[in-house]
Amino acid sequence: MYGIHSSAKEQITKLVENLFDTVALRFVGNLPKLQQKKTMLIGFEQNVSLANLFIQAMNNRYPNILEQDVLKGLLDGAYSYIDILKNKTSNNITQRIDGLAREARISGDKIPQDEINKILKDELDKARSGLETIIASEGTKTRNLGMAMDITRAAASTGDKDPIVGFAVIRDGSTCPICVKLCVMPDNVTPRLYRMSELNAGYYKRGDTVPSILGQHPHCRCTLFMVPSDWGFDKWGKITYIGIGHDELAKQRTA
Amino acid sequence: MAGRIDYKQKYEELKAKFMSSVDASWRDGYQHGLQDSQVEQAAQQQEADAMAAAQPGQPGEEQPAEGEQPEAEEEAPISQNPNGDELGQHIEKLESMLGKSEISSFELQDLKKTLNDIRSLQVYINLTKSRESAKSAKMAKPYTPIKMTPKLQANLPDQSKKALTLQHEIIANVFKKWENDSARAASGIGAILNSEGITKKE
Repeated sequence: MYGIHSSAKEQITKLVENLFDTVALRFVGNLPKLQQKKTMLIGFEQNVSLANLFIQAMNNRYPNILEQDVLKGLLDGAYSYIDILKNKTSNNITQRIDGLAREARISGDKIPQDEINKILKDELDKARSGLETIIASEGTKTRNLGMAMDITRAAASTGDKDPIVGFAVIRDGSTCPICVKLCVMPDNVTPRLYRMSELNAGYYKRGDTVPSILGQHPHCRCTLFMVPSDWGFDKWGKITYIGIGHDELAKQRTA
Repeated sequence: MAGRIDYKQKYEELKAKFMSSVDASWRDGYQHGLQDSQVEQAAQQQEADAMAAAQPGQPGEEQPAEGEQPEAEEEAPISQNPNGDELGQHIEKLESMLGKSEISSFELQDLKKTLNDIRSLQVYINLTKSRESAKSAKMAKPYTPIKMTPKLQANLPDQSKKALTLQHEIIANVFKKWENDSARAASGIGAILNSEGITKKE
């Protein structure tokens, strides 16, 4: 017993693919994989994508070969996650509708429109939730990696191969307790410092005792900043020049 | 017998429905209550627990937004009935009556009255829970780009401020258009199914 025709399945799949590819075009930008789909975006639509974010995080400097490669990896990674979600959503929608159609044909009835709408709403809501996670986490990752690349380059120019960094935590009342614990000292004011090499370079995992360069979670707003030698923090936790020979990291670790 | 009403089954169904309704209301009130200031104070003491329950930043997984309590902190509570004494009396009465094989018309009337009492009690509990939830619930806000105040931007390098704002703009832009695009896709799918002739309008 069949459900919906294969041609209908193909059309549904194409509609869902177009929906996700449009999102990917807006978010990731004009990847080679999306070349054929770029006409989906209206020509005069101003589009700011992950690539712009990366360049902005690098202080609008032209990326070198290494940074271009990092950016390419970031864009490919982000597109892969969207692609996986696209296939999952498209498959879920067609399979669920196909199942309903099969049941309806067996019973000699038709599918109520409400049931179709319910399936579509359910799947598209799930897709939106998944997209939000992907977009938030990939955005955070791109921004922080851009910052990390910029800090590394600036530090290397002064001969420092392993710069001291901290995370600027946005303290607006909705900051997550993990970010505060990992990125702020127990006085709840002074940023906690790390060597760049000590930071976790992958996604943050529960129980990790050091923050991740990529951010602690998808909506993480903590941002890397460098603390040059001789610099430290005032009593409000704001970075300031202390004096020649001052080592803020050593001070924090001996306290 | 074909025409006979199965009161026991009806009672069981009603009881199950009622208990699930009370559970849902209670859980709803509990979860909203977690966001209350008292719980926030308690959460600071249990920071270590929150750490263990934190979500990893893996894309593709459901993640809580920043500021939300981790999932494990919001474990479904054990079923509780705040007005258990009064409700228990009604339930015991119903059970004793339904235990009898024959139900007289007088008992049937009493049964109906008791059931009405339970229903009114259920409405009362739901209203109370809703009121409590509404007091402590924070309204869901649409996604809005962050506004950088001097306090928020301490230690943030200039490019980071711009990048953070840009990131929020990108996300807001994608989801602003997602609503229209997904609605268009849904109506397109509906049209395809209509042309297949497998849907009916109610």
